[in-house]
Amino acid sequence: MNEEIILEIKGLKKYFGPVHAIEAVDLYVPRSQVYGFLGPNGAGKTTTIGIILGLTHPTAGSVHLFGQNVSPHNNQALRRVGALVGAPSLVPYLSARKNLELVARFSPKLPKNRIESILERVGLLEAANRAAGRFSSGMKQRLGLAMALLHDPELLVLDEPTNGMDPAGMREMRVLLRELASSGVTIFLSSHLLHEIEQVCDQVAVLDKGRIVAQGKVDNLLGKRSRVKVRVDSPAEAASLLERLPGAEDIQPNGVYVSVGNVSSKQVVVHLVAGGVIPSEVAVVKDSLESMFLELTQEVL
Amino acid sequence: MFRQCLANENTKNLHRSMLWIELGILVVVLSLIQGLLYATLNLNLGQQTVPTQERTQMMQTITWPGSLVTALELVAGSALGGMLLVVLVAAVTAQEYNWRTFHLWLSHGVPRSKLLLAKFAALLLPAFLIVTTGVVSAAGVTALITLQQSGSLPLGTIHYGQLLLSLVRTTYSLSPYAALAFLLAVATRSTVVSVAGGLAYPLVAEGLLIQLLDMAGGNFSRLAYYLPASLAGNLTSLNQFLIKGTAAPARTASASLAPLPAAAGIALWTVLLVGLSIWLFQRQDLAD
Repeated sequence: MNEEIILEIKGLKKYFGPVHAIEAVDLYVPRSQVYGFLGPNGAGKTTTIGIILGLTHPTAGSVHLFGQNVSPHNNQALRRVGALVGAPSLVPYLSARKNLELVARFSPKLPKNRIESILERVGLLEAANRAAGRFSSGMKQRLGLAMALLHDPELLVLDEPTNGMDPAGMREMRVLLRELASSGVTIFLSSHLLHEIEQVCDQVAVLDKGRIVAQGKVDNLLGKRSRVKVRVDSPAEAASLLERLPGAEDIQPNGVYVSVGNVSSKQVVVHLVAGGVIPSEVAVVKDSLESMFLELTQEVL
Repeated sequence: MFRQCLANENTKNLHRSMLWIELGILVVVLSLIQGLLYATLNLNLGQQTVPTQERTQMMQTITWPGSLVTALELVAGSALGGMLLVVLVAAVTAQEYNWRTFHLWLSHGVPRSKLLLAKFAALLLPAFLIVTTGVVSAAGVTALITLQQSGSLPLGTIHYGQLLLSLVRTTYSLSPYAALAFLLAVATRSTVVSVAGGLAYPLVAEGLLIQLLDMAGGNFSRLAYYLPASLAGNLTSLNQFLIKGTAAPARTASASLAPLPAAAGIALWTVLLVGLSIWLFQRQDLAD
């Protein structure tokens, strides 16, 4: 199936003097997907997002949104994008409603009640007339999200959107992202909360030291890293048999269990039974995004 | 897109408490200056009397219609109005970086040049408000003094069309100073640096530069005529025509440009400084 790519990044580089913040990044974000963008601090995520949003000049490479080139000098395509990057950008002495009115001026075709409905959606209707600068960080984040969603963007770029939110707010955000994704909005989500990313995202890219180290569908990435785990009466014998199974990698006996990577459960069962070892339990254990992330970025907890 | 940016900037400027506080400061300071001058002239403070000729001249600056011309001088470039405008322009512009609100508009697809041009253009409304508030406030206080002195207001001596033009002219003469503060705010992204630099130029540097050019003599001294202070002085010399029957001012060495070339010079300075601001802004990386 041909997927429509709405965000395409090719050969992107950004150098700040001797510091190479981004080194040849290539990304392809298909329409109606929730795309996770992961990386440790200083990996170049915010710089990449800054270039996508036309805020930063790339040293080399290109960004195309909806097929149109995007740069600080040519940012028309961004009218179809909503963004919430880091701490929300607000005019602190204006009310939440007034802040939204400023954003609404750039989308004259919005329905009259759009501001009210978006305030209600993010739970700020009652605080709508209070100065945004006096909001808690969670409320500011909600207002930032409302400003990003106001004009019904086709692509939503979010960098740490749950920053400052309480657990209930984070849960609401997760539900909202799922709703938006199911209504066809493409979401480009950068977050440190790997569990959240795993729950919400269809695809991910992992950035480390300015380079993409993994990219693809979450299921595929984690599927490649799944292991077959069997319970047997004689683990040592089973492990010895599995060493002779073509393709089997990383065989680990652990009590009454033996786990093995890079082979299917069917291959394991057939091989063990042929060798006279009958497994009493067979399970396919998927790796978590967190452990994959840590391994790829070599972060030590 | 420019129209929307301009409307947004006007909303932001007019909702900013700083603007209204500055207007309040202007009213208080001008009232104090005029009130104290009147008190000095009439109450014989310190048992000293002011010589009659000087007293007459000073009274003219705090009674109608002369007080209106004086008020326009007090809100000009290197005077109180100009200083208040520089502080406002620097704060309004540099804070956009701190609040990351430039980021917000740009990530909504607003072109950089239109955004910055609209921001500067919108700042001319607060400039006009500063000039107008200064003149209206001074007119109010000095009307009371005039009534006290002569029992009536000489309304027939004022050319109201010229008064309106004087407000526009004085606002226009402030634009190079506003543009300089704007450029400094864009270049440094710092409120403190842009306020300091924006004030240091008209209060210290420009006077010093004029003196140095004068000392150099020849063509160098002529360069001083093209600095914003001289250009503004030449242009606002027309403000005295708001008093009916005023004779054309004699051209002096320090005011040797006619008002029209002076107006063109002010436009050139403003375009140059705002153009430079836009050029810098186009090249800036704004992401954190």
